[in-house]
Amino acid sequence: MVVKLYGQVTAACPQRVLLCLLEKEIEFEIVHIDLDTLEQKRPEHLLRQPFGQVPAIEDGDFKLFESRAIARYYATKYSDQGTNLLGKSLEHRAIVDQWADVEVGYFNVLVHPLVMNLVIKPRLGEECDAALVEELKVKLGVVLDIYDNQLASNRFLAGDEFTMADLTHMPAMGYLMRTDINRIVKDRANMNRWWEEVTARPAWKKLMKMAGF
Amino acid sequence: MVLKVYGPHFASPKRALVTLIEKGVAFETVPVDLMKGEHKQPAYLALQPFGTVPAVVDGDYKIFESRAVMRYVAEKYRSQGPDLLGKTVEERGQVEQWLDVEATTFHPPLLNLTLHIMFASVMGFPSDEKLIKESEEKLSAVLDVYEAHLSKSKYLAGDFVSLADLAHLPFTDYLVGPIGKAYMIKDRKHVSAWWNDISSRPAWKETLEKYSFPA
Repeated sequence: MVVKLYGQVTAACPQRVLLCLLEKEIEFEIVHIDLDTLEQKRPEHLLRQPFGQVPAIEDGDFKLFESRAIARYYATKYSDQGTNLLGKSLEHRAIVDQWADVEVGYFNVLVHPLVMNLVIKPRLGEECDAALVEELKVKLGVVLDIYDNQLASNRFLAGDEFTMADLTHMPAMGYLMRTDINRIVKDRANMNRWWEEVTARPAWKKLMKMAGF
Repeated sequence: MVLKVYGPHFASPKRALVTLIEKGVAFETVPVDLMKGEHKQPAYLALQPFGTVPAVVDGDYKIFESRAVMRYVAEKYRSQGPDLLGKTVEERGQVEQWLDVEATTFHPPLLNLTLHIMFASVMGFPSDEKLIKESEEKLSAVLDVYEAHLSKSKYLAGDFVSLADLAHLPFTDYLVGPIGKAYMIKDRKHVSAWWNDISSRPAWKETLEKYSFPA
């Protein structure tokens, strides 16, 4: 049975799951949920995801939402197939979880409102909060200095190998890099090196093609 | 060498502490004086580069991020104490789902309430009334979803208590206490019953008894 992913292929959170499924060579089917017409807030989708967000998955009788939980589930269930995303030991896995959690509390909390103001609002004809953008850029700079330092002595966020810690950052990073504030990453040598390496992966290239980027 | 948890008097470290106590794991705590800026000193930044609590040191091994610590402890000590990760990969998936809901959806508005109601004056920034009102509305909408879910499920991930439930303890304790918004929990029948259940667990009572912020 093929995994059904409910979401929009251009949206960051569904992309997180798609990237994991591609890295793990797991077959899937996308059921398009149209964010532009707020399909995610309609009763039919609320049955799958009660907070009215994407993605949600159905795998036979099994249902799950929250993109990072879905990615961890498939990375665990198919640990013997495709890329190993969860580290080689319990201790290594916990470091992978550590940097994946940093993505939620330190990275996404700043990048999400940045992308909303720089990309989404203009597209919807709404005004960008320029003062907020400046404030967020300063805060993101401080956070990216810490990332840059980590990547000075580690090839990937959690060590020598590409893991969930790197993967989980990529969709939102992809959006950030397509804005005119991408120098915030490019000017940091280790972050830039890391971004070039992770985006050269075949699964990422496939995802970008699917999303039409 | 015994596992050490840094910053026990604060809320996020209590996610790690309650998990350790539930699993019956020996540990020590190391106070971190946030008022004196100890968390911004090089010695602490070497353990947690973002300068926040908790940090955990287990022999040579260092780990931060409270929910990552919870997962590490629950996995490492799987065979002792309650199984906080569920019994199957699918049950674990449900645990991870609600642990992520806590982190991405429940925690952010509650953190705003915590900072602006409890800590604004102490930390020296003006309390933002508009943000407090918006955050309460957001949290209220989230709790409505929890109410519907908990009317069909005893605990968040199913009929067993898990990391997902425990992760909610420290900041919800602030919500019903010093934040002064206990009604948000008490006015919702199933959320209230769930809260009474998880907050009366011996491990949580012990956490509060030993590590509450000194008055």
